[in-house]
Amino acid sequence: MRELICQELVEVITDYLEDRMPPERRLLFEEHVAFCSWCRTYLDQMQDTIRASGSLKQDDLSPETRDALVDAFRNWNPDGV
Amino acid sequence: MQALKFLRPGRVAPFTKVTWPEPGEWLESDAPPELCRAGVHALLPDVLATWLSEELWRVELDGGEEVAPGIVVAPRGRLVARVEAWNDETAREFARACAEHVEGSPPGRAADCAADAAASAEGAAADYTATTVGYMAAHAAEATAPGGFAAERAWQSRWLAERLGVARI
Repeated sequence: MRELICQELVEVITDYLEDRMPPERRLLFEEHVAFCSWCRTYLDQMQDTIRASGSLKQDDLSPETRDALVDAFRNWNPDGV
Repeated sequence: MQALKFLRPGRVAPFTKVTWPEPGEWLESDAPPELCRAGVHALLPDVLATWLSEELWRVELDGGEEVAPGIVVAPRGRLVARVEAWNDETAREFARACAEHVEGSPPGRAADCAADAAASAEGAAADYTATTVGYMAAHAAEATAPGGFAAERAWQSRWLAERLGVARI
């Protein structure tokens, strides 16, 4: 198994957080995070964001923020560039 | 079985962010042990160099099994005692030893990696900065000869285990 580089880690971090990564790959991922301060910080930030946004309720958002989010999703084009 | 565990400050697991209970109290997993997925994870002395973090603890695992080289997983585990010998001072010693071990690497990538390790050694502390120096040194070894990375990591782990007095756990 070859080691992971930072760019690859960024690409697969969602798989890691959603537990969609085989154990051998998770091991490589965690080995990389163990020595790479940038990726460690990035992982911490992602985990913090998920924790924070996971505890948000609809009423916690101001009407302006809710409208902005709805607009963003409405205009989102997954096939766009 | 006895094993070792690196934790962040305050007995926090580096990946799951779980706070381990006080020494002597069991930390239990609610799912069957599986590498990097579930269960209480700990280390054998052979792989210490890869997983450095701020605190090193001796741990006791109930029903632990080695599921990958040097990595043991169990349904539950508890902290036994902190390894006080692992601190910023010994971390710097470790970093210097890593850099010195690859001093004189052949010109090119090996020498570049060795120089990076030497340049970073004095700033190393008992956290990822020490393992980064070890990582650079291991790359110098790999650039010198194929298989050098794993051999260097094994040497580094032996150095740590001997220096910290945890070669026999």
